This record gives sequence, C-alpha cells and structure tokens, in this order.
Amino acid sequence: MIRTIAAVTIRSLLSRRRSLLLALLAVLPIAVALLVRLSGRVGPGLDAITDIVLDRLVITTLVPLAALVFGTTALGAELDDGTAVFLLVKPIARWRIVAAKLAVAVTLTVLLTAPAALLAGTILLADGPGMAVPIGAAVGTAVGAATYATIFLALSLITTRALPMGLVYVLVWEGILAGLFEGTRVLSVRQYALGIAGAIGHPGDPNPSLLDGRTALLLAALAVGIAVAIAVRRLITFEIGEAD
Amino acid sequence: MTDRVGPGPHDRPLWGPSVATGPRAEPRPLSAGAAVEFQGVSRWYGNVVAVNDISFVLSSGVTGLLGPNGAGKSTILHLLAGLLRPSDGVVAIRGAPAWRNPAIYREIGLVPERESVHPFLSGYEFALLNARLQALPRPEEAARRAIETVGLTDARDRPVGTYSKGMRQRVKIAGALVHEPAILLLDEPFNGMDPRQRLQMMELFAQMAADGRVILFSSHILEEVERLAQNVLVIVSGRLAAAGDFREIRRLMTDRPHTFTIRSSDDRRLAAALVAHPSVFGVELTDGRLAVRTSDYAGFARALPAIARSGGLSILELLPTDEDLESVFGYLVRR
Repeated sequence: MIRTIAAVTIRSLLSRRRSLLLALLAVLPIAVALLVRLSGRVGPGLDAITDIVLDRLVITTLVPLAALVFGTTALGAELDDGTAVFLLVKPIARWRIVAAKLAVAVTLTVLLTAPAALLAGTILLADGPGMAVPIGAAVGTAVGAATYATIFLALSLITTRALPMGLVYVLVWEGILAGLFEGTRVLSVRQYALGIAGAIGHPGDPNPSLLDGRTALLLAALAVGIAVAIAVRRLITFEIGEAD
Repeated sequence: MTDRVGPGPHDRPLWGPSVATGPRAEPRPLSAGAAVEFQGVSRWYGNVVAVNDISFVLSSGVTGLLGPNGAGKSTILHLLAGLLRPSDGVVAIRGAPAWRNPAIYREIGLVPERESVHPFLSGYEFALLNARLQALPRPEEAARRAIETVGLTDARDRPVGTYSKGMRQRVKIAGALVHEPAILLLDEPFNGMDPRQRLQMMELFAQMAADGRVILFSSHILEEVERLAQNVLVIVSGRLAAAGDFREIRRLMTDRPHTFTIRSSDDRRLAAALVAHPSVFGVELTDGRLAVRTSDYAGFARALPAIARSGGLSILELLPTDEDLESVFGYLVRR
C-alpha cells in the first residue's frame, strides 16, 4: 500500500518543473568544485572555498530548498489542488499515507543533496588526507535533508502557505538569527547538519562553535519525531476545503 | 428493494424547511438498516453556517441533492464522505460514524466536483491505482471493468491531462466505482459532459440503483434531477427545504405563485380587466410596468389573450420575473 502511494508520489514530484530546477541547482556545487580544481588552487584558499561549497552552497542553500520543494509538494500541495482526495477516501490508515509521502520527500531530498556534497567534497579534497570530510559532509547533508523534509511536510499540513513560510524560516532563522546567538543553535537544522558533518569529518578535533555530533543527531531525531507526530495528527483530522 | 428518502429520526415534517422544536434532544440511536444517515447535522465555519440542522436517511435508489450554487450540497457530500467533521449531529454510514473512520471507504465511492486526477496518469492507471488502494484481489481486472463501464476503453492509455472535461468526469467516476461500492456520492457529476455521455451515465446510475445501491448526486439543474432521481433533497442556504418524491416537489414548484411583468397598449385598463379574473390575486402598476401575480400559471396563460382581445388591448411584452431556480427554491423555503 505504502509502495503504491510512494510510486505515484514520485511520478507527481518528478513531473514538476521545480524538480528539474533543483537538479540543476544540485549540479552547481560539483561544477564549482571542478572549476576550483581545474584552477589549481591549494592551501588555505582551498579550505575556505571548501567551506563555502559544502556549508553555504550545499547545507545552507541546496538542502533546505530541495526539502522545501519536495516536503511541501509531496502532500500539502496535493491536498490544496485536490489530487489527494482520491487517496483520503480509501480504507487506509492516515499514518500510512504520511509514511509513504514522507518516505518519498526524504528519499528524493537526500538523493539530490547528499551525493552533491560527497562529490563536491571529494573533488575539492582529492589531495587531502582521506575521505572523512566528504563523507562527513554527505552524512550531515543527509541528516539535514531528512530533518528539513519532515518539518516542511508537517508545515504543509498546517498551512497552505508552507512554501513562503518555509522560505522565511530558512532565510531569516537559519540564515541570520540562528548564527547570531549561541543558544539558538539547538533550534537550527543547519547546525545539526554542520555538527554531524564536523564530528565525522574531524573526529579528533571538535569545533567549539558547532554542536557535538551526538547532540546534533539527537536533536535532529527529536525534530523529526515531533514533525511526524504533527503531520499524522493533522492528516487524521484533515478537513477538505469547500468549493461549494 | 425499497427506495426511501426522507427526514431522519430528528423531528421534522416531510415537506418544508427545518423547524426548531425547542431544546435539542440527545441524538438517538441510529436507524437500523439505513445505508446513510444524517441526524440533526450542522456544519459551520466561524459565524457562517454551511449546513443547518439537517436530517435524512437514504436507502437504495437514486436521490438528487438539488439546490443553487453555494447552498451547501458539497458540504453535505463531504460530511457523508468523512472529509468534514460535523459541528453538531451524527453522520453515519451503515451505522458507523463517517468522521475519522477509513473503514467506511470500502462502502463508499466519492466523485468530487474538483479536478482531482493527476494529469500524468492514464485513465487506466488511475483506475488501477484506486483498485490497488482498495486492496482488491484482482486490481487489473477491476480497473479494466471500471474503465469499460464509463466508456473510456478507447482512451484508457492516454494521459488524463489530454482528456476533455466530460472524459475527466468519467475517469473520476471510474475511480469511484472500481471497488463496486454500495454507496456512491457524486458532486455535480454531469458537469462538462455532452448530452450523449450524460445519458449514458444516467443509465449507469439508474442500473446501479436497480441493483440495490445508494446513489446520491448533487446538481443545481432541475432537469438533471428530474430525469434521474426518484427522490430529492432540496437544499437552500444550508437548510433542507424539501425532501421526498421528486414528482411531488415538482408539483409544488409548478403550482407556486408566479409573477409576470406586462407592457401593453394601455396598462391601466389591462390591470382593471385582469384583477377581475380568478387566477389573478394581485396587480401593481409601477414605473410604467404592470406586475401581475397569479396562483394558477396555466389558467392565467390561457386567460390573458382573451382578456386583452375583449378589451381591444395589445400585449407588447410579457415577462416571467421569478422563473430562475433561486426564486423557486426561495419559495420552497418560505412555504
């Protein structure tokens, strides 16, 4: 049952033009990494660029944008445009519908973003000591992608304006406020992703400005759990909008 | 087989709008045997009342949910389909509550008014998807049968996005029929269909009703309801204005008072002549126009030419002023 719902959801998401734009955006960090390597840059300059590509381009920009598109479109947009009605009037527990939609949103977001982090990191650090940093970036990206996608899917069941609200959250909260005050890091998905990436990439050299890996993973799991509970509850009590 | 539609256990006359009868009683046990039960149901959005204390029960047969746009027809269908929570009262399908009860969807097929099919799916894929979600044992066979039933076999492999409006309506019906539900709820199902398709679908629904199924369809078009429904629920402004046999309601609508405006060669003389006729119970001269109210539509239509001729008057214009459906429904509510 979940597989049937997931299959049609994947077709629905991939048939939208937004998905193509996201795929192009996912290629960007890899293209930048290739250009940097071809330019022959090494040393501290390369480290700074690696930070910009993996943090600013992938974790801060690509991940929330992809999660926003897939998370809000997988279910919320279908509820808004009426294409989810046929699904709601079936003898299926609503949590199964949420599970199928969530599986698709999370999988697509992770598949689009984590390989981009892994490839871009590998290309940039090809002469480095090992694969720890690219793998750390990919795992952090995957955790961040899953967390964001779940939160945005839940948001799309709370409001019909999930896309703009999600953008405001990403730009204002994640982009500005969460970086200004240390205490707000525990409420920032970006910080969870960076914390996990740092813990795996530099295991013996913890960065005090980041959350430690275990805390980051725990907080991400907590956020996912809360978002799933909200999403299931919202869909169980979902009421159709009136066209009459 | 019994065809039955009528007010539910909540106290209410067979004809006429909902009547408040003092403090509300606690909802009584649901009627045994009723496929669909609406018991003292209200639904409001903030201060707006969409459905106001409506009761009825349905057993097998075709029932038309008739009313102007915005009357509350879709709200009633969505309440029955468990897609809306009743603010008050009980909505039950075979004795089980409709709200928060996915089990009812084995019994129900819903055809919503909105476009609700992914445009990239073919008609067959959509029917198959519905069959799989119903966990039918042979979904391919059920999907093929549903597509054939609605006459889309030739177009079954085309994407729904390329379908005409009428075909999209039919594919929605195929999706709702695929599990052969005992209760079919249809929201304006004939929208966009050409006359031939409309007739085919009406024959299909009539056959399904003859097989013992419950068919409830909404429409704001009197003729559609007249052709298909044995029974009717007339909804006006969220209230049940009338319920019962369609022919009886039709008679009420025809026999209601009618108003005409007339322009003639001498309105004042014509008014004097008309007021003496027994079919006329009111005349009014305003702004150079003569308004005439009659309680006998046919009698007045026959008498008017004779009255004009005997007075040597010419009728220049004769217009009915309250023939629109809103006026007809308004009359039923006031009655």
